[in-house]
Amino acid sequence: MQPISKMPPLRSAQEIIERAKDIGKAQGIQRVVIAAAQDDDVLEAVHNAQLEGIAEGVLVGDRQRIRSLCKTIDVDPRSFHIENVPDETQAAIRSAEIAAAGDACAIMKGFLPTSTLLRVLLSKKYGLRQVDTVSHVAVLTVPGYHKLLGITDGGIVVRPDFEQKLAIISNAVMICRAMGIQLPKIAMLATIDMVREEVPETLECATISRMAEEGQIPHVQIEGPVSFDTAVDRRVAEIMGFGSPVMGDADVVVASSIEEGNILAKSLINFAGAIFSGIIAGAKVPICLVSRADSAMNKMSSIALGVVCGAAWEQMDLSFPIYTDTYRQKAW
Amino acid sequence: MNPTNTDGHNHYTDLSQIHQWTHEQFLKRAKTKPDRRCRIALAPAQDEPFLQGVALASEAGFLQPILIGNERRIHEIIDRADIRINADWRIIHEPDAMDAVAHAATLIKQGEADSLMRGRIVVYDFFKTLFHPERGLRDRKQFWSQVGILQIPDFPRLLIISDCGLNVNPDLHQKVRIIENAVDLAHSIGITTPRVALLAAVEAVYLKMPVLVEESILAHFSRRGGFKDALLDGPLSLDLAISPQAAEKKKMTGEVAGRADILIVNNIYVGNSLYKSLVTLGKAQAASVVVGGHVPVVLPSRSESPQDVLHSLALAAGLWAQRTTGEGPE
Repeated sequence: MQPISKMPPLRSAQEIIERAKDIGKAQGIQRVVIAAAQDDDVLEAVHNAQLEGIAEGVLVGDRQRIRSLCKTIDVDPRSFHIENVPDETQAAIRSAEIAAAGDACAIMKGFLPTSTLLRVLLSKKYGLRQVDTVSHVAVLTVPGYHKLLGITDGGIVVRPDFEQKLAIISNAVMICRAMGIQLPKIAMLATIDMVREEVPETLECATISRMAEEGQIPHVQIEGPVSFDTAVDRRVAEIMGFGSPVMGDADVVVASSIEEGNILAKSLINFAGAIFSGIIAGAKVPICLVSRADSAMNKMSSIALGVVCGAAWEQMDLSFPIYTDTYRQKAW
Repeated sequence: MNPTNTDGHNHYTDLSQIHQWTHEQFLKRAKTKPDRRCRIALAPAQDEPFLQGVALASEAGFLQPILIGNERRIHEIIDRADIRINADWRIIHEPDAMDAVAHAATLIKQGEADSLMRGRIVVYDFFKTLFHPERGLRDRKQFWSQVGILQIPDFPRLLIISDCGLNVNPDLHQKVRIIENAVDLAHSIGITTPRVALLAAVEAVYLKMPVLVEESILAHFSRRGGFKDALLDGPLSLDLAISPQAAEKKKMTGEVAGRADILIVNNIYVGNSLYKSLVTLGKAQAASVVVGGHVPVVLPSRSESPQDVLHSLALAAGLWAQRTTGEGPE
C-alpha cells in the first residue's frame, strides 16, 4: 500500500469513510481509544463505525455505566474492549498512554470536558505534545462546492494571535496532507479582499500571506485577506479580477475568531446541507469529537477522518517548519 | 398581505413579499403626497450588474435612477449589456469615484435625490465620503448600520442579519444601536415583535470570553425593557437560534431559541462570512441596506446578482415611501 498522504485527494465525507475502510483492509482495522466512554451518543457512533469496518473502539471509562448505557441503546457491550477507569481525568491519562504506546491511532472524546482532555494531551508527560496550540478543523462536504472545505478554528482557540494563527495553519495543513492534498490552498478570511487599516484583521492576513509567498511557511499556498465569497466562488474571484490560484478554490478557510469559524460552519451545515467531519489537530494523534446535535453521518465521517489522519500521521514527518524567529530558535 | 395579523412575529416567507410591502407603502403615500418614484443616486454608476438591477427596479415602477460616474463608460455598459433605460433617468458626469459619492450626498441634501446606492467603489471609501463632516451625510447623533434580509432555500422565514458590512468591531453601546436599527427595520416591514438572537460560538457563558459576557449583558438589558417591542436572547449558537430541533435537543427554552427573526453578530468578520456563506453556497437571495440615517442607503455586495440588487432597491424605496408618508415607527 502506498503512503496514505500520497493517495488521491479526498473530496467528500463518503470518500473519507471509504478510505478509512481501505486502510482497515490493508493494514488491519485501526483502533480508536475513547476517553471516558460513558456516553450513549459516542457509544452508538463507535458501534456503528465498528459495524462498518471503519475503526475498532477501545473504551476507557466507567465499565458499569458503559454496560448499562449499552443496554439502553441496544448494543452488546462484549463487542468492545473496555478498560475500567471511572475517573474522567484518569481516563484521559490512560487514553493518552494507550495512544502514545501506538496501540491506537486516534483519541475520541467521550463524557468529559474538552479542556480536561486537551490539558492531558498538551502535557509533556505523555509524549503526545506536538505544537503549542491545538485547533479544531471542521471538514465540510458542501453540496455546490467542488471539493472538501475546511473551516478553522471554530472550536478551540478563541481569538488567535499571530503565532497561534500560524499554528492553526500548520495544523490544518497536516490534516489536508493526510487527506492527500499535497499543496493545500488556504484562504485567510477578513471580510474584504484588500489591505485596509479600517479593517485591522486584513493586516495580519497580508503578513501571513506574504510569509507563505517568501517560503517561510512551506508546502502551502496562502492568500489573504479574502472575503468568503472570493475564497469559494470562482465567478466572484473572476469578477474581481484576482488571479490567485487560491481564490475560488480554497481547501481551508481560516477564520479570525472562534465565533466566525463556528458560525460559518454551522451556517453551511444548517443552510447549505453540508456534512460535517470534525477533528482536533496539533497533538501527535488526532482527536475526534462528536456532538449530540450531529447526524449519524456526521459522527461516522468524523471517526473516519480520525482514522485517516491517525494512520497517515504515523507514516509522516509531523514537524512543520515555519521560519519565524521563535520557531527558528526552537529548531536550532 | 399582512405578515403580522396573527401574533406580531415574522411571517415573511420570501423576498417577493417585501416587493409587495413596498407597493403598499407607495399606495399609502399616494393618498397624501404627490405620487412619484423614489429617486436613487447610484455612485459611481459604471458597474454592469448594478445597472441591470437598477433597470429592473425602474421597470418595476418604483425607482427613478440618477447615475453618477464616468458618463462614457456608463453608456458603454448600457449599450453592451443592452440595458433598457427610461426617459426619466438622469446621468451626471463625475469621473472621480469619491467625488461621485460626494455629489450624490449633495443631491440628497438639496432634496434632489431620495436615497443612494453604493456603486463601483470600495465600501470603506464610500462611507469615508458619506461620513465626512462637510461633504458627507451623517449627523453626529445618528448611528448607521448595515442590515441584510435573506431568503434561504428550505428555510421557513426571512432572516434579518446585522451588521455584516459597515461597523467593524462595535463596542457594547454600538451593539445596542445596531440592535435598535435592526429592530426598527423589522417594525417598519411589519414584524411588530421580532425575536432577536445574539450569536456566539456557544450558549454557555464563560467569563473569559468577552463576547459571551457582552451578549449576556445585552440579554439582561432586554429583559428589563431595554429594547422596545422585541424579544431578545443570547448568547446563542447559530443552530440553537434557528433550529427548533437543535433547541429542543439541547433543552434551550425561551422565546427566541429556535425561532429567531434577527441574528446579531459580534463583529463584521463573523457577519460578512455568515452572509456570504448564505449567498454563495447557501444559494440565498438577499436585500441589503444601511439604516440609521435620514435616508436609506442601498449597499449591495459586488458579487450579487441583479435580482438581489432589485430586492435591496425595493426595500430602500419602500422605506423611503413609508418615511415620507409620515407613518412607520419613526
